[in-house]
Amino acid sequence: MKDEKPIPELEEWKIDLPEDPHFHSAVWREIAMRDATSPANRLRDILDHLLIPRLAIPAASVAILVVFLGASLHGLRNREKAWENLGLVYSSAIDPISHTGAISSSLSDH
Amino acid sequence: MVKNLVIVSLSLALLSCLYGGVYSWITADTARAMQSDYPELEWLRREYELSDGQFSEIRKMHEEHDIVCRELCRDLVATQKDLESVISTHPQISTEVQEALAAWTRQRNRCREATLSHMYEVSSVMKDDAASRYRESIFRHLIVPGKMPHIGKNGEFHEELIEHAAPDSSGSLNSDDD
Repeated sequence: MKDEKPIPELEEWKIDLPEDPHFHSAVWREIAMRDATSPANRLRDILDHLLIPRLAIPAASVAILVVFLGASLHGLRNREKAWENLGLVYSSAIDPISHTGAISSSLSDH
Repeated sequence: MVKNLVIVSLSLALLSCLYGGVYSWITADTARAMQSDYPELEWLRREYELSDGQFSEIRKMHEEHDIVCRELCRDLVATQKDLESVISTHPQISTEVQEALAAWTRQRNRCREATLSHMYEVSSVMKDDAASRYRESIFRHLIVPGKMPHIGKNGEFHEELIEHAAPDSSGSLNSDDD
Protein backbone atom coordinates (compact mmCIF):
# COMPACT_ATOMS: atom_id res chain seq x y z
CA MET A 1 0.00 0.00 0.00
CA LYS A 2 1.12 3.44 -0.80
CA ASP A 3 0.56 4.96 2.68
CA GLU A 4 2.55 2.35 4.57
CA LYS A 5 5.78 3.32 2.97
CA PRO A 6 7.09 6.70 4.09
CA ILE A 7 8.29 9.05 1.52
CA PRO A 8 12.11 9.01 1.71
CA GLU A 9 12.32 12.82 1.72
CA LEU A 10 10.04 12.97 4.74
CA GLU A 11 11.96 10.24 6.52
CA GLU A 12 15.16 12.16 6.17
CA TRP A 13 13.67 15.59 6.93
CA LYS A 14 14.69 17.21 10.24
CA ILE A 15 13.42 20.36 11.88
CA ASP A 16 15.83 23.17 11.61
CA LEU A 17 15.95 24.25 15.26
CA PRO A 18 17.42 27.62 16.22
CA GLU A 19 20.80 27.47 17.84
CA ASP A 20 19.51 29.16 21.00
CA PRO A 21 20.13 26.71 23.91
CA HIS A 22 17.05 28.08 25.83
CA PHE A 23 14.71 27.37 22.94
CA HIS A 24 13.18 24.19 24.45
CA SER A 25 12.59 25.71 27.88
CA ALA A 26 11.11 28.83 26.25
CA VAL A 27 8.64 26.69 24.31
CA TRP A 28 7.58 24.79 27.45
CA ARG A 29 7.24 28.04 29.35
CA GLU A 30 5.00 29.42 26.60
CA ILE A 31 2.82 26.27 26.77
CA ALA A 32 2.60 26.50 30.57
CA MET A 33 1.62 30.18 30.33
CA ARG A 34 -1.18 29.41 27.86
CA ASP A 35 -2.45 26.65 30.17
CA ALA A 36 -2.41 28.97 33.15
CA THR A 37 -4.51 31.62 31.43
CA SER A 38 -7.56 29.34 31.09
CA PRO A 39 -10.19 30.23 33.78
CA ALA A 40 -10.38 26.71 35.21
CA ASN A 41 -6.63 26.54 35.65
CA ARG A 42 -6.53 29.97 37.18
CA LEU A 43 -9.26 28.96 39.66
CA ARG A 44 -7.39 25.78 40.50
CA ASP A 45 -4.22 27.76 41.06
CA ILE A 46 -5.97 30.21 43.34
CA LEU A 47 -7.60 27.41 45.33
CA ASP A 48 -4.31 25.57 45.60
CA HIS A 49 -2.58 28.70 46.83
CA LEU A 50 -5.32 29.51 49.31
CA LEU A 51 -5.25 26.06 50.81
CA ILE A 52 -1.52 25.76 51.27
CA PRO A 53 -1.36 25.29 55.08
CA ARG A 54 1.38 27.92 55.34
CA LEU A 55 -0.86 30.52 53.65
CA ALA A 56 -4.30 29.30 54.73
CA ILE A 57 -4.09 30.53 58.34
CA PRO A 58 -2.90 34.08 57.50
CA ALA A 59 -5.42 34.27 54.60
CA ALA A 60 -8.27 33.19 56.89
CA SER A 61 -7.18 35.66 59.57
CA VAL A 62 -7.06 38.51 57.08
CA ALA A 63 -10.45 37.51 55.64
CA ILE A 64 -12.02 37.41 59.12
CA LEU A 65 -10.51 40.78 60.00
CA VAL A 66 -11.66 42.38 56.74
CA VAL A 67 -15.18 40.95 57.11
CA PHE A 68 -15.38 42.06 60.75
CA LEU A 69 -14.19 45.60 59.96
CA GLY A 70 -16.40 45.86 56.87
CA ALA A 71 -19.51 44.72 58.74
CA SER A 72 -18.71 47.04 61.66
CA LEU A 73 -18.25 50.09 59.45
CA HIS A 74 -21.36 49.28 57.40
CA GLY A 75 -23.40 48.71 60.56
CA LEU A 76 -22.17 51.86 62.29
CA ARG A 77 -22.87 54.00 59.24
CA ASN A 78 -26.40 52.65 58.79
CA ARG A 79 -27.05 52.87 62.52
CA GLU A 80 -26.12 56.56 62.64
CA LYS A 81 -28.18 57.25 59.53
CA ALA A 82 -31.20 55.48 61.04
CA TRP A 83 -30.94 57.47 64.30
CA GLU A 84 -30.57 60.69 62.33
CA ASN A 85 -33.73 59.87 60.35
CA LEU A 86 -35.62 59.07 63.55
CA GLY A 87 -34.62 62.51 64.84
CA LEU A 88 -36.19 64.07 61.75
CA VAL A 89 -39.28 61.88 62.20
CA TYR A 90 -39.60 63.13 65.79
CA SER A 91 -39.33 66.77 64.69
CA SER A 92 -42.06 66.20 62.09
CA ALA A 93 -44.22 64.22 64.51
CA ILE A 94 -44.61 67.13 66.92
CA ASP A 95 -45.20 69.71 64.19
CA PRO A 96 -48.74 70.10 62.76
CA ILE A 97 -47.38 71.97 59.73
CA SER A 98 -45.25 68.95 58.78
CA HIS A 99 -48.41 66.82 58.82
CA THR A 100 -50.15 69.10 56.33
CA GLY A 101 -48.90 67.29 53.23
CA ALA A 102 -50.10 63.88 54.43
CA ILE A 103 -53.53 65.13 55.59
CA SER A 104 -54.08 67.29 52.54
CA SER A 105 -53.40 64.35 50.20
CA SER A 106 -55.71 62.08 52.22
CA LEU A 107 -58.47 64.73 52.09
CA SER A 108 -58.15 65.13 48.34
CA ASP A 109 -58.44 61.34 47.98
CA HIS A 110 -61.97 61.40 49.51
CA MET B 1 -10.10 20.50 42.93
CA VAL B 2 -13.67 19.67 44.12
CA LYS B 3 -12.51 19.26 47.72
CA ASN B 4 -10.74 22.62 47.60
CA LEU B 5 -13.82 24.21 46.08
CA VAL B 6 -15.99 22.84 48.91
CA ILE B 7 -13.58 24.12 51.56
CA VAL B 8 -13.48 27.60 50.00
CA SER B 9 -17.29 27.70 49.56
CA LEU B 10 -17.82 26.74 53.21
CA SER B 11 -15.34 29.40 54.29
CA LEU B 12 -17.19 32.01 52.23
CA ALA B 13 -20.50 30.94 53.77
CA LEU B 14 -18.99 31.23 57.25
CA LEU B 15 -17.60 34.68 56.42
CA SER B 16 -21.05 35.77 55.17
CA CYS B 17 -22.58 34.58 58.45
CA LEU B 18 -19.90 36.49 60.35
CA TYR B 19 -20.72 39.63 58.35
CA GLY B 20 -24.45 39.27 59.04
CA GLY B 21 -23.85 38.56 62.71
CA VAL B 22 -21.59 41.56 63.29
CA TYR B 23 -23.94 43.84 61.32
CA SER B 24 -27.00 42.68 63.30
CA TRP B 25 -25.12 43.04 66.60
CA ILE B 26 -24.14 46.64 65.80
CA THR B 27 -27.57 47.69 64.52
CA ALA B 28 -29.53 45.78 67.21
CA ASP B 29 -30.55 48.94 69.12
CA THR B 30 -31.90 50.65 65.99
CA ALA B 31 -33.80 47.51 65.01
CA ARG B 32 -35.33 47.35 68.50
CA ALA B 33 -36.27 51.05 68.30
CA MET B 34 -37.93 50.55 64.92
CA GLN B 35 -40.12 47.78 66.33
CA SER B 36 -41.36 49.90 69.25
CA ASP B 37 -44.67 51.83 69.23
CA TYR B 38 -42.96 55.18 68.86
CA PRO B 39 -39.54 54.78 67.22
CA GLU B 40 -39.07 58.55 67.22
CA LEU B 41 -39.38 58.61 71.01
CA GLU B 42 -36.68 55.95 71.23
CA TRP B 43 -34.47 58.44 69.39
CA LEU B 44 -35.36 61.05 72.00
CA ARG B 45 -34.55 58.63 74.82
CA ARG B 46 -31.16 57.83 73.34
CA GLU B 47 -30.25 61.36 72.23
CA TYR B 48 -31.11 63.03 75.56
CA GLU B 49 -30.30 60.09 77.84
CA LEU B 50 -33.77 59.94 79.36
CA SER B 51 -34.46 57.81 82.41
CA ASP B 52 -37.43 55.42 82.34
CA GLY B 53 -39.47 57.88 84.44
CA GLN B 54 -38.69 60.81 82.14
CA PHE B 55 -39.43 58.66 79.12
CA SER B 56 -42.88 57.54 80.27
CA GLU B 57 -43.80 61.13 81.19
CA ILE B 58 -42.69 62.39 77.77
CA ARG B 59 -44.47 59.55 76.04
CA LYS B 60 -47.75 60.55 77.72
CA MET B 61 -47.20 64.18 76.62
CA HIS B 62 -46.39 62.99 73.11
CA GLU B 63 -49.63 60.99 72.85
CA GLU B 64 -51.70 63.94 74.09
CA HIS B 65 -49.92 66.35 71.77
CA ASP B 66 -50.48 64.00 68.83
CA ILE B 67 -54.28 64.48 69.12
CA VAL B 68 -53.94 68.29 69.28
CA CYS B 69 -51.43 68.19 66.45
CA ARG B 70 -53.78 66.32 64.12
CA GLU B 71 -56.67 68.72 64.82
CA LEU B 72 -54.50 71.77 64.18
CA CYS B 73 -53.21 70.19 61.04
CA ARG B 74 -56.71 69.49 59.75
CA ASP B 75 -57.69 73.14 60.37
CA LEU B 76 -54.53 74.28 58.62
CA VAL B 77 -55.35 72.16 55.58
CA ALA B 78 -58.86 73.63 55.51
CA THR B 79 -57.56 77.23 55.61
CA GLN B 80 -54.97 76.31 52.98
CA LYS B 81 -57.69 74.97 50.69
CA ASP B 82 -59.77 78.13 51.25
CA LEU B 83 -56.79 80.28 50.33
CA GLU B 84 -56.12 78.19 47.25
CA SER B 85 -59.72 78.44 46.13
CA VAL B 86 -59.91 82.22 46.74
CA ILE B 87 -56.65 82.78 44.85
CA SER B 88 -57.84 80.73 41.89
CA THR B 89 -61.15 82.62 41.67
CA HIS B 90 -59.79 86.16 42.26
CA PRO B 91 -57.61 87.53 39.47
CA GLN B 92 -56.33 90.37 41.71
CA ILE B 93 -55.55 90.91 45.37
CA SER B 94 -58.82 91.61 47.16
CA THR B 95 -60.29 91.69 50.66
CA GLU B 96 -61.28 88.03 50.35
CA VAL B 97 -57.74 87.04 49.37
CA GLN B 98 -56.31 89.08 52.26
CA GLU B 99 -58.75 87.53 54.71
CA ALA B 100 -58.03 84.00 53.52
CA LEU B 101 -54.30 84.70 53.72
CA ALA B 102 -54.67 86.12 57.23
CA ALA B 103 -56.70 83.08 58.32
CA TRP B 104 -54.05 80.73 56.93
CA THR B 105 -51.24 82.70 58.61
CA ARG B 106 -53.12 82.73 61.94
CA GLN B 107 -53.57 78.97 61.73
CA ARG B 108 -49.89 78.44 60.95
CA ASN B 109 -49.03 80.56 63.98
CA ARG B 110 -51.35 78.47 66.13
CA CYS B 111 -49.54 75.36 64.91
CA ARG B 112 -46.13 76.84 65.66
CA GLU B 113 -47.28 77.95 69.11
CA ALA B 114 -48.57 74.44 69.84
CA THR B 115 -45.22 72.97 68.78
CA LEU B 116 -43.30 75.43 70.92
CA SER B 117 -45.58 74.83 73.86
CA HIS B 118 -45.07 71.06 73.55
CA MET B 119 -41.33 71.61 73.17
CA TYR B 120 -41.19 73.54 76.47
CA GLU B 121 -43.37 70.96 78.17
CA VAL B 122 -41.07 68.12 77.09
CA SER B 123 -37.90 70.02 77.91
CA SER B 124 -39.17 70.73 81.43
CA VAL B 125 -38.89 67.00 82.14
CA MET B 126 -35.28 66.81 80.95
CA LYS B 127 -32.05 67.74 82.70
CA ASP B 128 -30.95 71.34 82.07
CA ASP B 129 -28.22 70.69 79.50
CA ALA B 130 -30.32 68.11 77.63
CA ALA B 131 -33.32 70.47 77.70
CA SER B 132 -31.28 73.28 76.20
CA ARG B 133 -29.91 70.99 73.45
CA TYR B 134 -33.41 69.69 72.77
CA ARG B 135 -34.91 73.16 72.35
CA GLU B 136 -32.08 74.19 70.06
CA SER B 137 -32.55 71.07 67.93
CA ILE B 138 -36.31 71.55 67.61
CA PHE B 139 -35.85 75.20 66.82
CA ARG B 140 -33.35 74.40 64.07
CA HIS B 141 -35.58 71.76 62.53
CA LEU B 142 -38.93 73.47 62.73
CA ILE B 143 -38.80 77.15 63.35
CA VAL B 144 -35.82 78.36 61.34
CA PRO B 145 -37.26 79.27 57.95
CA GLY B 146 -33.95 79.72 56.07
CA LYS B 147 -34.07 76.68 53.83
CA MET B 148 -33.08 77.11 50.21
CA PRO B 149 -33.93 74.29 47.82
CA HIS B 150 -31.30 73.71 45.18
CA ILE B 151 -29.94 71.00 42.91
CA GLY B 152 -26.35 69.94 43.48
CA LYS B 153 -23.69 69.23 40.85
CA ASN B 154 -24.59 65.52 40.90
CA GLY B 155 -28.23 66.35 40.17
CA GLU B 156 -29.34 65.55 43.72
CA PHE B 157 -32.01 67.69 45.39
CA HIS B 158 -30.99 69.43 48.62
CA GLU B 159 -32.52 71.83 51.06
CA GLU B 160 -29.64 73.94 52.14
CA LEU B 161 -29.97 75.62 55.51
CA ILE B 162 -29.21 79.30 55.09
CA GLU B 163 -27.83 80.23 58.50
CA HIS B 164 -27.82 83.98 58.00
CA ALA B 165 -31.53 83.98 57.10
CA ALA B 166 -32.43 82.78 60.57
CA PRO B 167 -32.78 84.94 63.63
CA ASP B 168 -30.23 84.37 66.37
CA SER B 169 -31.38 80.93 67.47
CA SER B 170 -29.00 80.38 70.37
CA GLY B 171 -30.09 83.29 72.50
CA SER B 172 -33.74 84.01 71.90
CA LEU B 173 -35.35 80.79 73.07
CA ASN B 174 -33.02 80.11 75.94
CA SER B 175 -33.45 83.60 77.31
CA ASP B 176 -37.23 83.16 77.22
CA ASP B 177 -36.89 80.00 79.21
CA ASP B 178 -34.86 81.59 82.01
